[in-house]
Amino acid sequence: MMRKNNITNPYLPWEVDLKNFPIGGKFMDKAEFLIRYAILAPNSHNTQPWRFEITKESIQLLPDLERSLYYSDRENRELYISLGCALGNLLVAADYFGFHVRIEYLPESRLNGVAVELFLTKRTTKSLYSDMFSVITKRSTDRGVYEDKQLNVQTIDKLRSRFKDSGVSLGIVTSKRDIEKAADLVYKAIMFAFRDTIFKEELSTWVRPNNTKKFDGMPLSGFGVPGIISLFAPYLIKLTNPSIQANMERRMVLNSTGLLVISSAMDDKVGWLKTGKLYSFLTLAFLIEGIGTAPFSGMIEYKKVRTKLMKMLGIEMSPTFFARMGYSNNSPHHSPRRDVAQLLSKM
Amino acid sequence: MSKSKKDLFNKLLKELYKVRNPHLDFKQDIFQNLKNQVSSQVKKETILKGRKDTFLPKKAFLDLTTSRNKNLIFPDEQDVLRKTVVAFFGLSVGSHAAITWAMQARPDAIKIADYDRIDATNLNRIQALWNDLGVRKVDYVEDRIIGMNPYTKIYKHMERDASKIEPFIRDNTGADLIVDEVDNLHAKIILRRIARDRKIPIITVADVGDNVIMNIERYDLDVNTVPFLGRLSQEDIYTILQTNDEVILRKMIIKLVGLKGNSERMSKSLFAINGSISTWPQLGATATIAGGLITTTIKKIILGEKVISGRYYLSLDDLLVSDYKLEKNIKKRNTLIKQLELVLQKNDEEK
Repeated sequence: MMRKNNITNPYLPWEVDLKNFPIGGKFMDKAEFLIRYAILAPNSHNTQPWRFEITKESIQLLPDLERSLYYSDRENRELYISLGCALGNLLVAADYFGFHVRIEYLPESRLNGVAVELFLTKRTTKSLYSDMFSVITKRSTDRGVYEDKQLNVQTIDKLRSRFKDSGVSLGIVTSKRDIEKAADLVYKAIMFAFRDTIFKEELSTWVRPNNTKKFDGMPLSGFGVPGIISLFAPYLIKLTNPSIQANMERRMVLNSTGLLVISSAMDDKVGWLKTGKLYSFLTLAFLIEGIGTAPFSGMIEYKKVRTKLMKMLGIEMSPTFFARMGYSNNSPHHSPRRDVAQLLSKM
Repeated sequence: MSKSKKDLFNKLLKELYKVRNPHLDFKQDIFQNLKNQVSSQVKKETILKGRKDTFLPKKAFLDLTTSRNKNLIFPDEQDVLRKTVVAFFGLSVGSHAAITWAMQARPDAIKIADYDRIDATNLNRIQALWNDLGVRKVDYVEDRIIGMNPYTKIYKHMERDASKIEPFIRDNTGADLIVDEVDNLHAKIILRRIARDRKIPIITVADVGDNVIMNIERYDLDVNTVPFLGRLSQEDIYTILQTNDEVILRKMIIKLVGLKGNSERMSKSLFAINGSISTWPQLGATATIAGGLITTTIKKIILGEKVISGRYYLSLDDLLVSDYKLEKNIKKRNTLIKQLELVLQKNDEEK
């Protein structure tokens, strides 16, 4: 069901101000405010495939299947990972504003297709994520070139234990040899994808010129494409030469000092949601450390490539997320966002 | 007769009085006559199966239960429909057709065929109860039809063996029309051969998203009608009969149903099979509409209206959605169809 969009500037949602939190307000108003942070989460192709419902005691996060990538994400894996990212942001915001949150994944008791339900009560314990809250509005996917500086392994290990969650596992690849092998896999995945006309057609529907007034999709500025050229965004994608693109991405991976791989024991919806949650936490924690990440879903979506990645990493769990990472001085632009009012129902 | 049954009997008689004499106010003497008449008939018809459930003789029962058909279906036409034997093959969408046909035509005999049982995933499009899980579809449809008209004689067929189809159609009452709602392509071919040999029409519908596609093959009017309206060639038919390869058969089904007319969601759903969904989606509303469409088509064919062989689209998207025909939306749907065709072609090549 289409709801009204109250904003005209698709970048306005990034200007959410914590001072406007309705401290003395009703639960509904507080929950709506928290959702303003959830929608700033990273998500696949900036499809923003989420909806929210607020009940008397909870926030429900639901998939918007109209926004699924019908061709390249036939299992809805990326869609649920995106929902997991929104969950991550929501948890950080809820924690910051004094809530304890109990999470139910795919609750059996709900009939409306809820992916995650969050029951909020007053937090009486120490804050878990307050350090991460301030960077929610600063975060954006960093697809630029990273610095040639080794990752601090201790920092990574600390984050691994801080965000430990059942059923998902975090792996960081830093060895030059493994990065090279992964770069070859990225090359293969890109060749596979960009030789596929339908993949390109679908992708072309989600890229936008840099000056877009639309509320979703990926402005090409994020990929380093200048303004004038970006005006031809959909055509550029369709005309992309697979080999040139694959070589470019391969080089980007080779120039990264680390690779981020999240794996899931079950590779099911809960596993995907938890993957997204973990990635969302990591992007925020990384940003504090000056680390940028750029996901590449092709490594996961192509089974052959995924299997090779598993073999290369020597892991038994199924990889659900792959990104290159590294210290970064880049200042990537935000991508547009839909208005919360459009995404929200109150029960 | 107990008091409650007597009360019901009297109530039914009063309704029958109104149905037969809509122009009259209630007159006791006329009512008494009717009562005597019906009661005496009841005694004569004690051997009839339905009488014990309805307390009414057959005519009174039919008069009451078809009274709202009147003028849309004239009495002589109702009689023709009652005597028509339709054989329904495949009782998912076919259950709606068989039950709707039984409801409207009140046939003396009906043939129903399906070897499958009801499972939980059928319940979005079959009006069965949870208690019906595991029940054979033929038994479920029989229960529904007998419940609404105990006078109907039901012939059931539960064999997987396609060679048993012919005797089922031929024996007992024969069949005046075939409704083909089976998924099995071998069975579809055999049904067409029988329809051609016996010169009877065959109707088949596909429920696709919110829309219905119907094929009518009038072998009764022209034995040279091309099977499947030419959507499958003789070579395809030969291939189907020689193979059990699921990929080839699936491809043939897509060729038969076609992708034209698919809504955006339906096309996208086909990409999602074995991804986010296990098989192609079907809707109960569309299955119900398909059942109604089949019943209306049977009525028109049997009563001699000019219904010719052909492929017919009932697109609710087209009827109801104002921007469905906008060029940009048509373009979007056509792109998806092209993409699906490309994927099918790619799958073939990989095979």
